[in-house]
Amino acid sequence: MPKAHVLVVDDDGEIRETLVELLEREGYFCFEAANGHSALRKLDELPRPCAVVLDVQMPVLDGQGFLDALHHRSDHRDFPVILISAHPETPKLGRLPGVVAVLMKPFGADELLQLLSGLGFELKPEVEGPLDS
Amino acid sequence: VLQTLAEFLDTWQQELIKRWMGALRETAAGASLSERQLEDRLLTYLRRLSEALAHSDRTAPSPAALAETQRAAAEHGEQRLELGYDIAAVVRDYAALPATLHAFLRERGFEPSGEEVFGLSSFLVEGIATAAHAYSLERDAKVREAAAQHTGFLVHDLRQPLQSLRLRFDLLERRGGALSHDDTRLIRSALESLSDQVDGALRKSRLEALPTPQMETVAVKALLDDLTNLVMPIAEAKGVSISVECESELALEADPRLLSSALSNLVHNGVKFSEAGTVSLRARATKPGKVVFEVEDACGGLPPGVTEKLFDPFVQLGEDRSGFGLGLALARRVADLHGGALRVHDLPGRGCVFVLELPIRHLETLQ
Repeated sequence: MPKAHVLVVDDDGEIRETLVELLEREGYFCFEAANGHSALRKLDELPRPCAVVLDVQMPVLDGQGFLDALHHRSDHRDFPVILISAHPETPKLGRLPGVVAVLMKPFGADELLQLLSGLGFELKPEVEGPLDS
Repeated sequence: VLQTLAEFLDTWQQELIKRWMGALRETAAGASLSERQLEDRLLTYLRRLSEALAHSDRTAPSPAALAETQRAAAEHGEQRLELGYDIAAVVRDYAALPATLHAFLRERGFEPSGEEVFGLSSFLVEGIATAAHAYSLERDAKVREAAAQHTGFLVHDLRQPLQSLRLRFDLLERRGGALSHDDTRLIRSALESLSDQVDGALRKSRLEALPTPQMETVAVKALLDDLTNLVMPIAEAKGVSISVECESELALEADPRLLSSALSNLVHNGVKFSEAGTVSLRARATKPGKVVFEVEDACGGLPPGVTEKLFDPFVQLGEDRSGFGLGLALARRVADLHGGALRVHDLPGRGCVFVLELPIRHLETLQ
């Protein structure tokens, strides 16, 4: 079983920071990007598989732009995407290839953790599982 | 020899359009429009009008001919909305035609029959009604669309800090223990952002519910001087100078608080968007019975196609996004409340001039 890696992509530094702290606490290895463009540039260096928690509205390259570019890569299946968005039209994007789920902001930690654990990634050995969920 | 009014209109179409537009130029709304914008649909309207007169019997306009003039008028109403006219200005467009035509008929020595004059005025009344109706339908649709859009933006902007708070709370609940420096920083920042959004929404609703103006005689020079003194420190800090041109005895009837806040917004904007140079504040009486305030800045000119968007609430076009983008919307609202108008002229490469035109005497006082 692969280890649990997550790339957190959100232009809101505070949300990103908190997500990373939360996920790391739950045993995930986290990587960060502030927009779709820098997320794409990180893909080659990421361990596989790696879940992508992806905001939709971002400067430089938005979530949809990232998904388009990701879909053109032969290794896109290594990067299952969970969309997170405050935009009411986002659920429609859930049908795009590569998107496994859509979470509307403001979502709770449990909702995200449940989705991530549903991907079947193994947690780091030193952490036994979600502490209290 | 011209026999009918329809023939007369047909023959003298170009000259009439020229004179009609000349009359429109003198209105506040027409002053800043290009020849093409001003003329748009008017020529079509005049053509349909002479066709309609030619094809109608002497006592009543034919429905088909009427429909054609109405279509031109409806398009005209929509176009005027795009240009930022208020509804009174749309009506004035048409009201200027009989006056222009009357003078021109006399000049050419042509006397239309009573039936023709009656026919013409029925068409004009229908034209005004249709143009104003089309204008108001379009405007209502725009207002609804803008309100929905604004709610969407507001919800989006509220969700971001809420998300930040919710995740931080979940994290704290899992982690337990005391709040770290990061925790308090993030929570404070999210709460501040929420308060800002709520304040912004509140300010917008206050803008829509501005009070009925409390009219009194306002000495313009003193008002402008007070305003300048308030803005001067901000301007000096930026290296922008402020000049005031106003006759010392100029006065008008206005709500001094509202007028001052409208002008203050215009001057603040001028200073905010000028890198250097001068913001000129001018006021003068113009005929007939109007006072024109001009605030000219050195912002370098406006991006193309934005002159009307500028006045929408929450629109911020410059690099400097401080404030809520309500200043110009408020200034225009104040103009409306005084029965005046606010427009902007672009001075490409230099800056722009905001023109606030208000009646010297308030309508209610006249009655």
